[in-house]
Amino acid sequence: MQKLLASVALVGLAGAIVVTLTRADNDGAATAAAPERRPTTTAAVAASAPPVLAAEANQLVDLDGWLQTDIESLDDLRGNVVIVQFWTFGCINCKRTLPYLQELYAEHAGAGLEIVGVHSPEFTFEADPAAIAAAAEELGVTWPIALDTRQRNFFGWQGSRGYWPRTYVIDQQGQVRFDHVGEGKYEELAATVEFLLEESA
Amino acid sequence: MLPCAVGLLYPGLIVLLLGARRRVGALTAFAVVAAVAAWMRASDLVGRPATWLLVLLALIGGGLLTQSPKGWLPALGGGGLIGVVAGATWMPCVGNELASILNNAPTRPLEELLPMLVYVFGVTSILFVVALIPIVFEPIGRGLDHEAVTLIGGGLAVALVIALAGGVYNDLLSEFAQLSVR
Repeated sequence: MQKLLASVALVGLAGAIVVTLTRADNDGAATAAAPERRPTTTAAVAASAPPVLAAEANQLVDLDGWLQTDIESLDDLRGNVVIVQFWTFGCINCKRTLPYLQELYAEHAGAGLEIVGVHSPEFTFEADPAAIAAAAEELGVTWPIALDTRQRNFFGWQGSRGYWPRTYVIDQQGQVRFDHVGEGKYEELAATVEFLLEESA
Repeated sequence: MLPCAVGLLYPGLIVLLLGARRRVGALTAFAVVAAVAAWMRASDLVGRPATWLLVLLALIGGGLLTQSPKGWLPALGGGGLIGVVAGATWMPCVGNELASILNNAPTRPLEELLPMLVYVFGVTSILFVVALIPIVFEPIGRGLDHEAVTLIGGGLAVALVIALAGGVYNDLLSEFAQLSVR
């Protein structure tokens, strides 16, 4: 009886793993070459103001440097809508968010949108600045990268709920207006950015 | 997926290797407790536990697991304690399914407990497959009962405790993550 139950469980589990891995492969392939999954940001303008989630966003402190920019703090970007994303280049889920950020950046970079990618490595092999720069080039990350190698900001901003990726939108007054863990909510992200940009226009 | 799951799979592997003939039960206790611990963190019900506490739990959990051949209590208790360590230290990359759980957990914690359990069982399912194989194919079971398997499991448990105590647990996971992507 025990053997029969174990056999059934084994077949079920093996099947579930195969289905899951197949789905994951398909997702990855689709994301890499699938602009059709990306929302058209112009159609996603929010009807109402995004809520203020925090009256004053955290600062980026004790960083290990910056890449691709001359700025030294988020204060240098005050007056803009700023997307702050915690990411690391080895994280597949972070990579999957990049096409959406690139689309927003291409569309609104000259109109008051800035993006700061806070690179907080999950593993030690992701901590090398040269590797980060190479990965940024390969992935098409053209916005400023804050190096948070010791994860001080990763935990300072997220507390015990530290995950990759995590995306915040900070408005022109320094208030947090969007906060999302992981992939997804791209239309809401675009709508938030566009609402804030239009509000100040 | 593997690099992001290594924070669950490495401690789970210890439970698998030290669980002896009670490895399925020990793994079940591990997965349930790891899921609950991860859910409690996601729901902001608890913060990050102190390092000394994690070291203590890993030490006791590993010790109990070595006694798994003697009874269910050490197997389940050891699996559960290692599960606390795994759930408390796991910092995942977040895809769509897990994003839904983590974003909703702070405001609707009870609704997200079951999805988190399912997610953690899914991530650790490969360990359950390995644990179930010996029941179906007994010759493999005899191989897994070999002393060398227990020694490897014990070595991984000692490495876990030392890495936690020395603040280099992430470095240890990095090594396994690199192996998984090679």
